[in-house]
Amino acid sequence: MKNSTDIKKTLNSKGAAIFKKMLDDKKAIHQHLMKGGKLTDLKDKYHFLDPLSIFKP
Amino acid sequence: MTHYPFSNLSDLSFEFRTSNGIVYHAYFIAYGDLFPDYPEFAEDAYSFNLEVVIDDAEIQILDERVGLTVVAIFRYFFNSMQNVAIYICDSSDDRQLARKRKFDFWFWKYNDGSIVKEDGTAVIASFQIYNSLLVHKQNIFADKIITAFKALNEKADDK
Repeated sequence: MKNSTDIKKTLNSKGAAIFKKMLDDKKAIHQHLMKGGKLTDLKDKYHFLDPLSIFKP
Repeated sequence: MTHYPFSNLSDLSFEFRTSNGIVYHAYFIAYGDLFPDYPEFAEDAYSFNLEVVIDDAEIQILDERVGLTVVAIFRYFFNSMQNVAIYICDSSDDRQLARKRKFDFWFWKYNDGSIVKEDGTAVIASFQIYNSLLVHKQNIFADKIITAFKALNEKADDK
């Protein structure tokens, strides 16, 4: 009788790395805002969408 | 019922204050790395985030205008029809499923049909990360974008 040992591995999704980065960025920005910071303080670190750039009256 | 007005758009976010004294910041960050194999729309991909920055509410109430406002922000975002948004439910406090349900409900109730939403679940180190893609119905790459999004949530080969 064969003893088999299943080594269960959890396979990450193909987008795991970028999703993780997005989550990490979100947490860092959350902490910055909670300390009273503004998004504009972080504009050199993240590429925020400028809402005024898509304004169509 | 109308959405809350946005303010301070020059601060890189859509800010709104609810009648209950809660101030939200909604913002988008570009992630060209999401779809590196698709240069035709890679630069139009953004993550969407919603943050409570002030909570002066004495009593927590179910405020339907928040969902209405979030969907209005997306309609504004899709003034540029080529834009693509990804929403990831934060899992740091184990409330990701509640966030997903709320987000799903908002779009079920308030979307006028112009925004297509596709849901996915990614696996990262045994955690499940709920995420959603939002794309304008008239985006000429919509089918391709959805296919690329689904691939992000597929499990990688164990090689």
